[in-house]
Amino acid sequence: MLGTEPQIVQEYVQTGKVKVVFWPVLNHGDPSFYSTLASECVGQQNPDLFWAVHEVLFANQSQLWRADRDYYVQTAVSIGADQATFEACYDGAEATARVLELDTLRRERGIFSQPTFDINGNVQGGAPRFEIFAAILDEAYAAAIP
Amino acid sequence: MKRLTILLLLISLLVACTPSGEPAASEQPAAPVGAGASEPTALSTSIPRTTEEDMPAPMIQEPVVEEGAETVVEEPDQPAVPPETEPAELPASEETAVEPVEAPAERTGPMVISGRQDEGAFFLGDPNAPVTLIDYSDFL
Repeated sequence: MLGTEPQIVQEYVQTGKVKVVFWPVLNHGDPSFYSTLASECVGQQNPDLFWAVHEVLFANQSQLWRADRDYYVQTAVSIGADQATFEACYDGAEATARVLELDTLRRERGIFSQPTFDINGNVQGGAPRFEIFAAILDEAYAAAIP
Repeated sequence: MKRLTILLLLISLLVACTPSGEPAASEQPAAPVGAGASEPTALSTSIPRTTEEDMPAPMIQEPVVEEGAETVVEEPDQPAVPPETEPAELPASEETAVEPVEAPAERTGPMVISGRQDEGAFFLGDPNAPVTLIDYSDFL
């Protein structure tokens, strides 16, 4: 949803029609885990920071394969997170448990590939174009509004 | 024999008819009395005297290579075709040094709420929106 998300946010989220939920899928080992852990830790400070780092991480996707702790600390600080709080979270057990729990839950829901989209129970795989998203969202919205 | 005798007589007659004071045409004129031996003649002054400085530079000639002589081919300083080079490996410190980029501009907008669901996933938008889009994804 990286390419279509800004338009979805503008046309559906900001209008109150749609709520977007990001659910992590750890399909690429340590790089997946640590990038998700970093997003969890900035999100604990402020959910707005989660969406900010969400955009930064996707924009720098290729760098995440070799990103280390310092990279995530610098990224967190660059978007306004408190460094000491972030480091305590990143090094602690609570955030790790939360990330792993979310990954376990998506497996229990039968989600094994990414990206996968669940729109009011309508599960779609792959990365559809905005027009496809729009049609599905419009249909879901019409069905939800009496 | 008779003809030869007549020919000799004719030659003698011609010699006898020639005046004795006129020099022969093929002889060089005699040098005047008192003239130095080193004084140039008209012929010698028409040819300018040349020195080594006036001599033109000698033409450069290709060296003559004797047949069968051993020739040495100097290797150029650089090979004509550069050898294939492997990409330089980054130092270990640079492999792990990944520069994070600047934070993006605020994207949520003033009307957008963000928060966390009961299960722990983060959401963006009205918590009571009629449509929920769950994005199962990985940052990689």
